[in-house]
Amino acid sequence: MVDPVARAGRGLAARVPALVLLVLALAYGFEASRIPYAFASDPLGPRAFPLGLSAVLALLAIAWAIRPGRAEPWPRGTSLLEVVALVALAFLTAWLFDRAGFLIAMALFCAGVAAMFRATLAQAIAAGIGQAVLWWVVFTKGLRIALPAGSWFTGS
Amino acid sequence: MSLDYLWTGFAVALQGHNLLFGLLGCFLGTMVGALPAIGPINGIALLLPLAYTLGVPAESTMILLAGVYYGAEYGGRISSILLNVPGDAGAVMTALDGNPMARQGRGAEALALSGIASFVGGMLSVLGLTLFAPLLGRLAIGFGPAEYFVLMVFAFATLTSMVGDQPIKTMIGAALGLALTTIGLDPTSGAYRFTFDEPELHDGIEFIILVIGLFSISEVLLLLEQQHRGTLQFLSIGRGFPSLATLRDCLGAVLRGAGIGFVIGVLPGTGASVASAVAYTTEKRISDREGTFGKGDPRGLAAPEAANNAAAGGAFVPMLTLGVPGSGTTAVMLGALLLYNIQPGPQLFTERPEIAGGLVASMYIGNVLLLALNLPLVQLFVRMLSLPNWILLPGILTLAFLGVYSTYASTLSITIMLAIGVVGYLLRKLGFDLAPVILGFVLGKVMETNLRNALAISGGELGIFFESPICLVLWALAALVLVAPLLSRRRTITG
Repeated sequence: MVDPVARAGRGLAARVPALVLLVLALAYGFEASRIPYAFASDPLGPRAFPLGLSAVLALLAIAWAIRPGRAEPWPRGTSLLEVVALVALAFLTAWLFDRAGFLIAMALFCAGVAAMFRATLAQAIAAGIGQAVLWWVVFTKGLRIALPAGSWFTGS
Repeated sequence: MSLDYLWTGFAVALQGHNLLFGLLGCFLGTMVGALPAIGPINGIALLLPLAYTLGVPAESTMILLAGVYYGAEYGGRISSILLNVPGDAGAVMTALDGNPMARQGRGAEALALSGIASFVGGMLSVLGLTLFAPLLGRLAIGFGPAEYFVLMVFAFATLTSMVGDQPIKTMIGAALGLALTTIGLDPTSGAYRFTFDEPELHDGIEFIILVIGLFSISEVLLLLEQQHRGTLQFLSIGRGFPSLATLRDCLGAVLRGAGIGFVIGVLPGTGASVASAVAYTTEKRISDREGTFGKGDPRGLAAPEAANNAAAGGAFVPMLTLGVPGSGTTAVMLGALLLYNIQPGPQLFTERPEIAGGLVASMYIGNVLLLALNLPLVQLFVRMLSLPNWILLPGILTLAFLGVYSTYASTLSITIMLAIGVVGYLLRKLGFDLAPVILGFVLGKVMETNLRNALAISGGELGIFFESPICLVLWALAALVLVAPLLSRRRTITG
């Protein structure tokens, strides 16, 4: 909010997102035109609303491509690597969640995230183990919500 | 006019457990408002799945979430004043005069004054909500499908003209939200739309997954990227309390701010951030004769603080009576009601007075609680601001995982949440505001259903949307809100 928002490039690069949206809008409309249905109890049917939306979105995408407006600069270097690493770590954690179990998956995840947010190694390990155990106790003991113990260990 | 719902509401809100939920909500709300990392939408998004999974009754959940909502409007001022970093979008204007006051060593005075302004603004707007909501509700009883459809058009028109300065992106956001609601089973025809034979998509995109992904995940990614921008410097609070003369000076600013905030809050889609901006600029025009605004003028602090709290109350009026949220945060609360299978509307006040009334009554109680929490305990909230990100953010992410997992018990929903989070991050980098997406999402089903029902009634004749006086008034209002900003812009250019 208070950060000065830099002007994004004026060239083609600034227009790529709008063109992606245009393609998506058209694909959405194409899919909408082939929604299979046997009957409809109303004159409009299930296709009309998404078809209309697709047209609106396509027009808006063209307007956006013509005037890209303000955008923030994309991250570069270390920042970009960190964002990509966090996203990858998060998807990996989702995959590990019921395989390795909540405790291990979340301890690794929290330690990794803490490290990215400038924790020292000791702090990161403490944050990982501390958060995982804290939330495990709060959820399974306090709130009585079952969390995965890990199919790799329970064999189920 | 009957205020029976309010008495029922007080009976509900004063029950021990609901008082506790209210207090908890106010406390957590002040906290999330104060922390620059998380705003009210994040706080609500992360609490909602827990309350829902634990089987907390609907009225208690709403009391809890409402406490978070207006508590955040109190909390947002703390970091605005002491750090010059707004805790949430509604507190941007607070920094303009609040931070200079703190620089002059009047931090404590600024905090107390803004707390009092928040309280007055909040109380007046709950009063407005109490009186105004049943009236609007009575008007809404005459609404048929055609009127509701045109109402949605009006809502998107105000959204476009009021939110942000990039109307095309606001419209794209709303359209994306609408498009997301078309995924899943179409109940009228039994057709599966955009499900690609994936059973997980048959029920459509789940609300909680969307909100947590869009807001919480994208927020953490943005913070990760921005952490290189140097450390923040805390200003000391000092001691002091606004003098009677200062309070008297600010009275006009507070009342004007509250009025502006309430009206803007009622308008669909426009919440605290727009309200406080309009209140500040108005107050500057009226009172700033010596050019002291922006240099620590208490009136420049009081007006936006009264306005953002008043907007929070006003935003509930259309949400409860018409099912059209007045702000991004009330859009999430509307989603919460729908999760409990409660459809807001004029009947809510007569058929479910414990929910409508309980919520309204809890806001009276909540404002008193917040004033009591915020005046003496402000030091405690300030200390929370120094909680390092490496403790805070893993906690937020863990709660995001847990919220989605505990509601849907599937790791695929966590993956979907993460994917949505990445999209949310990209959209924010591209200059999008995410509130319109949520608004489009909570209104999409209603909009399409009413469009189709209206045309079913008329036999496909489009004339039905232009027949009733209510429709015509709504069309006119929609045209007005779209044209008005253009006209005022022209006047400032020529003048």
